[in-house]
Amino acid sequence: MIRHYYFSSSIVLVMLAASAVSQGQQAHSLAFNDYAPQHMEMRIASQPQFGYLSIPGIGNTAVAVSNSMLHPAQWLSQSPSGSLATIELDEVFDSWEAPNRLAVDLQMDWLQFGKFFKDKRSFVHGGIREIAHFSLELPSDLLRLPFTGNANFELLGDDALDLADFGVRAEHRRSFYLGWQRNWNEKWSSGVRVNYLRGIRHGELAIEDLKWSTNEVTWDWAFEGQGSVQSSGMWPLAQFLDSGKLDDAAVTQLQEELISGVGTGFGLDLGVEYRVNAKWLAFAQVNDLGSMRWKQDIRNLSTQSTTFEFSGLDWSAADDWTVQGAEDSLAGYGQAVADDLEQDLALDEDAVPYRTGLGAKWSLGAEFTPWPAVKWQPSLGMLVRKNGALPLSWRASWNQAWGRWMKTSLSFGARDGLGSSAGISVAWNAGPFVVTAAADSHRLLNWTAFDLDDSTGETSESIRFPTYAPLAHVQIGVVWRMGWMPKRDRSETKSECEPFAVPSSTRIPQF
Amino acid sequence: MDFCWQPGFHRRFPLGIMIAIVAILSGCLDQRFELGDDMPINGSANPAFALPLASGIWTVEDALNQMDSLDWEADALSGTAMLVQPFDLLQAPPIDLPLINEFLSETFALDAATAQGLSSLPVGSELTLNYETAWGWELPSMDAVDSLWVDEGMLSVSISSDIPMNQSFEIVCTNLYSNGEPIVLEVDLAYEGQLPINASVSANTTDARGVFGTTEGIEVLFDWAILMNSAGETVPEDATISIMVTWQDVEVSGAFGKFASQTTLDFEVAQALPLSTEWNPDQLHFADPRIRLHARNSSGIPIGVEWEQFAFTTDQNTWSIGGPDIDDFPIFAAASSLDSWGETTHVIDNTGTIPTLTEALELRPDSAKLLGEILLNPAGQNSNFLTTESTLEIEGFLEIPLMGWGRGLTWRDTIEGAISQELNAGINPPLDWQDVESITVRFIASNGWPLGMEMQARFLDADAVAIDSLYTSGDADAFRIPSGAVDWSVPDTDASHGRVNQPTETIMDLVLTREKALALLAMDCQGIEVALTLGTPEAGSDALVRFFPEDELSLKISARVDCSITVEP
Repeated sequence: MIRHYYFSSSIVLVMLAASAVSQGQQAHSLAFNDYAPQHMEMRIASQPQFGYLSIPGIGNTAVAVSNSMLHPAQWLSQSPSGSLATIELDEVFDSWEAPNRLAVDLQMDWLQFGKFFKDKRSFVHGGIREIAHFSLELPSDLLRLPFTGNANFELLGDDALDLADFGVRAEHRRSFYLGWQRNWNEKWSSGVRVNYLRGIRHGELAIEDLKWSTNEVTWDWAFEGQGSVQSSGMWPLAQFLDSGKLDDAAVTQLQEELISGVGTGFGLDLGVEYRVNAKWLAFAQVNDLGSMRWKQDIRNLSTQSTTFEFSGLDWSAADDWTVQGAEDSLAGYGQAVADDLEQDLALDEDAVPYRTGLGAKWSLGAEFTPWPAVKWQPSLGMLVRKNGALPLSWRASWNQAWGRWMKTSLSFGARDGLGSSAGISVAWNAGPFVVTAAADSHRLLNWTAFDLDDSTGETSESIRFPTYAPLAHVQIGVVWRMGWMPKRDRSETKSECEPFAVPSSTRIPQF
Repeated sequence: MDFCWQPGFHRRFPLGIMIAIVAILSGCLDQRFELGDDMPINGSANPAFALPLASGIWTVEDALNQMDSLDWEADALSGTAMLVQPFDLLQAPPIDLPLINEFLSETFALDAATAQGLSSLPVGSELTLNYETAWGWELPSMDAVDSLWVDEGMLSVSISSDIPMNQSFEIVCTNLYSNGEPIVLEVDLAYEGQLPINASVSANTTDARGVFGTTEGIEVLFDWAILMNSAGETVPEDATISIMVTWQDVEVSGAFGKFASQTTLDFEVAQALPLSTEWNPDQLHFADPRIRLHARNSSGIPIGVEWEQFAFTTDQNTWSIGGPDIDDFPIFAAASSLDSWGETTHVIDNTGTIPTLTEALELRPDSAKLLGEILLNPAGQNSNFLTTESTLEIEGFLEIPLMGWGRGLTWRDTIEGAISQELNAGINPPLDWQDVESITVRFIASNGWPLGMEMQARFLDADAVAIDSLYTSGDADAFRIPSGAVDWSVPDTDASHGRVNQPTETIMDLVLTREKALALLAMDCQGIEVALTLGTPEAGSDALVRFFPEDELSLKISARVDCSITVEP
């Protein structure tokens, strides 16, 4: 029987891995699935069902893709009788009305462990986690520029093109974390986790308040804004992108930085739970309080808030008034414009170490268990989460334990302003293993095929892409479950003190 | 009911859920699109892209500075910009200073009483005889000589005596000075029994000064003192003393007195006038050309000019200019003192010439010819001076103030090439002319010049024949930048008459529509002839305008592409 479970689990894992789209932080659908160790990310003051030890590399992997920018299926239409799809320009235009973001998050735990102490009054967990993030934000006016141009004054009116909120961010860090959860009494429990962070690479381009206006009469351009670039550990990559190859020194540097990092930091997660009564429980949590200090291979550029006006070649200053002279002056003029721009921007370049915040994430939640005495314990959960400057996320969840073997959470909510979606998490006690799988977007179920026709009209290539999935979040993990032999039932109320069961020689020790 | 604990459920249910989830996650196609190169487009996008191309501010001064072949400056009186063509008329001393090579020969004969007296002198006794003489000659160029500065020269005295005595001569040139003292020559004749006795003496007259005061040219005064020392012999009654005085190679470095009225130097100047051959008097009229002659005279001699010819010429024709400005030519002032200059300026303009300079220039001569002679001291002034450094410099300037009118001044240039292909390649890729509704080039001008401009472009085929033009004749939308507003209410004697008092602001769009572009693409255009026509306001009424160096023309050029991406591919 156990062997059967293992085989099934393996198939599931492989199939899930095959179907996984990408990246992720923590699936919100896991917040109320306490069979899954990953739920502690959302509920640090809560206890899992078991202690655990992860299998290196597959203990917890999460991939999330945020995409509010590219949904080609929304831009096309095709009638049943049509041989080719039709580009709907209005749909393209409307789809870029809101802020546009493309983000990829990858999280993988090399090692995870968790263990109960003091008769399950406290739980200690820790691990080593790899976190990578890339995001691109493009302002709506920039994407819509091919539709509006900069001189469609009927459309733009007196408004300038707003190119603010343009940003690119990439970060790779490694977290060594250790957490402690404690049940203080029947009502209160708390959790704290300290993260020692090792920054591997960081790069960020931020444009603030950039406006491009075109004078309605003269067609002169005016730019106003400021921006900054910060990077640490990006130089070898930049060299690679520029030349297409890496020299030995760069390769060595990359290898060293991958181990030792280019920055350090600390993060703190804090949480508290309060059991109001047997049915109601509330919790609050904050994750990623802290910062990272980037210290090596620093390249920083920043500008002052500036206004730059472009009114064309200054012809009267040219030595030669002929057209040929003007053409010959373009190279010099372009350089002069670049020099003027650099002077106006007051570009400040330095290699001073800098600090970045981790981006605190605040969570509030509640769980309602209408029938606390029932063995299969359905519950309803509600989670509200705020991740930095992103819009508020919320998720409602129906949580169902299927005996001791499995617990599922079916959820629905909105996340980071990317629209609403349904989600699911499943934690399955497969003998000594706990297999967890979660996905926060049901829209991954809808796909569109794009068949590229060649000149003869035959399909040369077919590409499949989610029809509309602003958020795709998949998280899977397999851990070794401590005490995986059947145990007595978990009590509904928090135990202040449990009797110490002296193991007999015939019983497997309980940890 | 605890349905979770049905037999076998805990084995099959979780697995079933998992498989179902995975199957769902593995892909549920809900639609399919066929993509190809000719995908139709529904809806429209009308972006418009505009950018500034170039701008500049040009003053009349900037424009004139661009013309390497012409000089210009601002008229000192009116401030109007004017073209200036300088030429040199003369640079020389007004007259050459004289070179003196004169000699004097005198014989002093003793009378009987003097001879007897000398004969009766005891041996060794002395007797001094004194004489005064004057040695004069004329300088042809001077009516009167007050003084001379002498540079170099040798004054020599040779004496031959028949008197059998030792004689000592002291000759003092009382009005010839060297280092402030009269030049003194001393010569001794020693009697040794032979007659005649000869001796000579010389004095260098370099840097000598001669002070005269006669009206008869130069007169050098000598005081002679002859000391006789008796040798005890009888002096014959016919004994003589012969004297030869020479003054040779005397270079006069300064002459002070009165120079005679005389012509001295000839001058002949033929100044090319390349501009006048190039303009069409029906298109371009300069209202007030003039010739300014400026003389600088460092001599103390007033100088006049006797004109032989003052004319504009071509190979075939000569047009002499007369009138009071020529006939009543002023006398060039003399310098008031050494190391100073007398400066005289004379302007020859339309008010004093017959025919007027404007009329003469409109005959399109290729050069101006000036022939004449320098007339020294025409009024017979008394106190003149001339040194080796005295110079007369006469330079002339043909000045053409930019005041007048111009009409129909056309500048043409042809841009050759495969225009049709270039027109397409300019936007394709990524667009083609179906996507482009129009291309607009905007000219924003603030014209402070009294000069308007119109532009026409003609499209040429391979044989340079015009096949189309940008505008039809008389098109109200034709490219035109009007001149600045000129106020003619100011009297024409006022320097501001004809001046722009208000720049004209114009926004002129040059629009190439899709239809025009498609027509050009079909024409196989191989060149574009651009014609820029300039004209001053009210030129048809011969209204005069003035160009001032600070008049500004600002021009800004921007471009805009209006796209219209529609259904049709």
